[in-house]
Order: sequence, then C-alpha cells, then structure tokens
Amino acid sequence: MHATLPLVSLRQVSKSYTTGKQQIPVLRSITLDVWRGESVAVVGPSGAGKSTLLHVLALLTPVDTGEVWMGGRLLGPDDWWNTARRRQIGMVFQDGKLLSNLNVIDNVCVPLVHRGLWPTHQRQRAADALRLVGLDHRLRHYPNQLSGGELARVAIARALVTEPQLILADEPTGTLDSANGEQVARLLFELVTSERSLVLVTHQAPLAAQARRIITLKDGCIDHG
Amino acid sequence: MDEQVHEVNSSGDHGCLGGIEGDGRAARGWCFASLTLQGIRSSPFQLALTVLTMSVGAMALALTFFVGRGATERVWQDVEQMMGQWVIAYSDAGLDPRWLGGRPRPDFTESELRELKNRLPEAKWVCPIYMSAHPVVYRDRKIVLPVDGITEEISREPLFQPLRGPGFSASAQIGVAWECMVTETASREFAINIDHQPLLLVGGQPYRVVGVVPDPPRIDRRFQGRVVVPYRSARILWIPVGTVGHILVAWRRVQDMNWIVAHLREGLDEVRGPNTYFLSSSQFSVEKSKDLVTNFILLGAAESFFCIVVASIGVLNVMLTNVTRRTHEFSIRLAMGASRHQILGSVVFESVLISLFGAFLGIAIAVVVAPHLTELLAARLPEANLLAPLYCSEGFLYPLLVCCLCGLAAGVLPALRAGRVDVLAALRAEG
Repeated sequence: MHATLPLVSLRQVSKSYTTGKQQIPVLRSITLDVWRGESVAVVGPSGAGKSTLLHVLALLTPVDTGEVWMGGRLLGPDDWWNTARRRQIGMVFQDGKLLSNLNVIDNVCVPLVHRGLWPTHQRQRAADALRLVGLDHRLRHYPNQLSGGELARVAIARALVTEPQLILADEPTGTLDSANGEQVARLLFELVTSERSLVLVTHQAPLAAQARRIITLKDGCIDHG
Repeated sequence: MDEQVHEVNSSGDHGCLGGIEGDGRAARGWCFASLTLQGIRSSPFQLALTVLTMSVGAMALALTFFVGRGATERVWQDVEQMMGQWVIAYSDAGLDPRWLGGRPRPDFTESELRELKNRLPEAKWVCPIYMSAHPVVYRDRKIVLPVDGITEEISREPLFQPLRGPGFSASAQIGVAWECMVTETASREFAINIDHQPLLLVGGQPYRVVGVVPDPPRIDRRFQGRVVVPYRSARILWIPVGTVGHILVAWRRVQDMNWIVAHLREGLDEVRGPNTYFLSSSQFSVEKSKDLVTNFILLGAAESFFCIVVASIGVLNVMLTNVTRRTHEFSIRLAMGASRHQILGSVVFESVLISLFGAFLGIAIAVVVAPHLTELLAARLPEANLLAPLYCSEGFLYPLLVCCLCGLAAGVLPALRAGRVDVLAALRAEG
C-alpha cells in the first residue's frame, strides 16, 4: 500500500512517569506508523496515554524503551530535544497556548523567531498562515480579545506557519462549541495533503471519525487501530 | 525497517520532515535580540527600577573618575602654582645634624653645584639661592623676616615680577648696588610707599626698596611677609666664602618633575652622600596630595563597586522572578522550536542589557552631575575652589565594563533555571 517510508514510526515504545517511589506506566509497547498524507485520530479514555503519545511524537519527552524513527532515521538518546528536528513538527495545543502578551501575528511568528527569519519574512508568512485560517482581520488583536474558536485557529496558523509535514493536535476542539469545533476540525483536515500528515488526540467521536485511521488507546496500549 | 532506512539515507533524505529554513546568521542574531527585548518588555516597571539601581552604582563609579581625575589634574596645576616648577635643595639634613657625618661645613659648595649642573642637563635651571631670616628695620619698626636671595634668571619668574616699582637694576644684579623688593604683605606691614623708594635695613645693611612682588602662593600667612634681594648681594653679605647657600632646580614641563627630582637625589647622594641634604617639602606635599587623590579614587571606586554588586543582586532577583513568571512562555517557545541555548542566552543577554542600560544612564547622569558636584565641593572646601571634572575615558569604560560583568554574573543562575524548564510540567500546569 505505501511505497515510501512512514513519516514517523514507533517500535515497542514504553514510557512511564515516576511519582515519588512509584512508577506509573503510561505507554506500553506501542508500535505505530504514521504515513505521509495520512490523518490519524488517537482516542481513548482519560489517562490512557493519548497526550503522552503525542508528546513522544512531538519529541517533547524521551521514551524509556523502544525505537522512534523519524523520516527514516532512528532517533538516539541525543536526538531528544534536537531542536532542528522538533522544528519540523507543528503542534496545536488544547487551549491554543498562545502568549498573552503578544498579539495574534506575533504569536504566529513565535516559531519563526526561533528559526531565525528576518522580521519581514516572519510577518509575511504569519499573515499568509492567518489568511489561510480566516483570521487576517485579527492580526493586531490580543488573545484575550479572541473567541475560543479564533484562539484555536490562531494555534493552527502557528503550527502551520513553518510548513511542517507533521501536525500534531492535542484536543483541538475540546473547549469549543459544536459550530466552532466543526469549523476548526474542517480546517485541520483541510491541511492534510499528500505530503502532510495529521495526528490528533480527541475525546470526540465525530471529530475522530473524520480521520482516515482511528487508534484507540487503553491503559497505555493500542486497543484498536 | 533497517533496509528501508538504508534505502532512504542513500537517496539523500536525512530524516527531514520538511519545514522552512532560517535566513542566515544575521537574521538569527536579529531574532535573538528581539527575543531578549520581548523579555525586557514583559516587566518594564520592575526592570526600570533595577536599571535605576544599577545606574546609581554606575554613576558613583563614573563620578569617582570624573571628579577624581579632575582633582589629580588640579594637583598637577598646584604643583606649578606652589612650586613654580622647581625644587629647592637645602644643605642640611633637616631633622638631625648628626647625619652630616662630621663634614666641616654643611653648605653646598661651588663644585657640588657644578657637578649637579652637569648631571641635570635637561633641567631648566640648576642655580644657587639664598634663603634665611634677618631683622628688617623700617623707620621705627623692626621685624624678623625671611629673606630670599635670587639670581637674575629666577628674578624673571612671574613670582618675582614687581607689581609696583621698577624692580632690580642691572647694577644690583651684579652686586654693586643694594636693592631689594618686598612682598605685598611686608609692604603693608611697613606701610612702604614704593614711589619714594625708601631705604630698608636688612640684616643691618641699607637696601633701597625698588619693587613690591606678589605674596608667595599657598604658604602660611606668617611667611608671606618677605624681602627679596639679588643673590650677589646676599652672597657678599651672608654666604660664607666657597659656598653657594641652597640650590634651586627647575624643570620645563611638570611631567619631568619626578624624573628631575629622582636624578637630583641621585646626584646629591653621590656628590655629598645620603642624608646630607633636604629637598623642599612642597614636592612631598604634592606627592601626598596625589596619594590622597589616588586613595580617594580607589575608595570611591570600591564603594561604587559595592553599589554595583548590590544592584546586581537586584538584577539577579528580578531575573529569577521573571524566569519563574515566564516558565509558561519558555515551555511554549521550547515546544515551538526554541533551543535551550536560545532561552538561556536570551536570559543572560537580558541581564547584561539591563545592567548596560543602567551603566549608560549612570554615566549620563554623572556627566551632568559632575560639574555641580565640584561646584558644591568648591563652595564647602576653599581648597577645592578650582576643582573641575575631567571626563576621562576610565569614567566611561569602567562603569560599562563592571556593570556588564556584574550583569553577566547575575544572569547565569536565572539562565540556568530557564534552561532547565520542564516543558511538559509547565504546559500541564498552565493547561
């Protein structure tokens, strides 16, 4: 079915958190491939390890055991926090996680600042990304002046502005009403192209149903997918 | 999988997931600076207070140098004013005559004077001078006054130029006429009318008063009443045969003073022996003044340094608070692709910038305040009446350097804390 390599591949990945002297396993021997142009929804009950799986894919936390392959390369211990690699992933957080002291366009510029683009290039790209999500009239507004749906769209623009091939979304519609949720979901799935993949974590079955593939996590294991 | 990896790597795909590239080193530098400025803008009030604290230390340090160097310069000017660019060698040991070591006579001799002249060719003059005290009688008043016997070349100095009267005639300079001049104080004490060129008995010898000269500057009032006579006449009357009285050595530039005095000492040590002469104390008082000013600068610099260190603790405190407050921001930035080095560097750079702002502000204030401070000092201290600030390079460089280093040191701990942010914990905590 797939002629090329998976974009991201997890092999027997386990991850646990330590609370005091107690180790709490969160992911247990997860094996998962995300292919180019694919949309994957990760569902499951609370505490199943959905967000941790997303953080592993975003290279925000190292795994305890197992292998993580990215773009056909096995990540070693030194690759965690490899900034250059993490910059190639777009991340959409649940409540947007925008910086309250920056306006919309400056928030979208944040990933570009850390890539070292001239301000004119940053603003041009950010304006393009905001136009794509329909917020080009809100460039100078601050997060506290936006609705929940608009915050989510700004977060999508911020994830999109670096033109990543992998977009990870953690409960992107979790705090939105149905109308805004549908709008944001439509926007996210429109981003999936032959070269760009989407992995989203959600509790909402209608949103998950729009993905090409649904993975169900239960107690840190893939129950179905 | 391994086969797939080999296949991909050999085709040139090194695990790239796409994404845009940066605009180069200059753009990265610009972005780094903008990141730092965003940090500074995040708590302007706190940072303004910290900048003010730092500026106080920087101002104190800059003022120390501006006023201190001004005072040093003043001391140099005093050297010229007090000493007329010369030093007088007295032919006794000053404190204890036993130092003379059985010499038949303590006075300088002609041969010693010649030897010193040969050894100090760069000196403006090496010439004899007579200095003693004699009873001076005018009409019914008799006072013991200091009497200076000066050569013709010294009589051309401004200190001996008559304010009133014609001054010494050529006959007096060669010792065939008996003429003297008096200082303004002596003139007042005797109520001398110079127009009449009255006779004055100096050590029993009648002298015609031919001029009034200025009082010697910066000496005790008791010694300001003086009589000046030509050296030749003093030699005839009071200097033993074969001796020359005292020796006066002058230099052309004040900067040569130390060198000339050192060579004079060396020469006197050789031709007369150590501890058989005494150099005029004005040189030492100048040295003492210089030491005093240097100590003042050192003390001021040390106090200012402590001020800056205290201000650095303020910077450290503000930076730690900022880093704690901005944990959420840092975690988002890290998740968005910032490197820990960028975060760490921006915090250190912010700390240095705050300190440098303080330094610039402090220096600017010091430049404005320094003239007023010297005016205030002059109003309180008569000795400082001509004190003026000197805007030397140290006054600009040292505050900048010290503040920069203190800012760097104050930024390290907050930066390390910022670099250790637990991204997931911070995101969860805020989420």
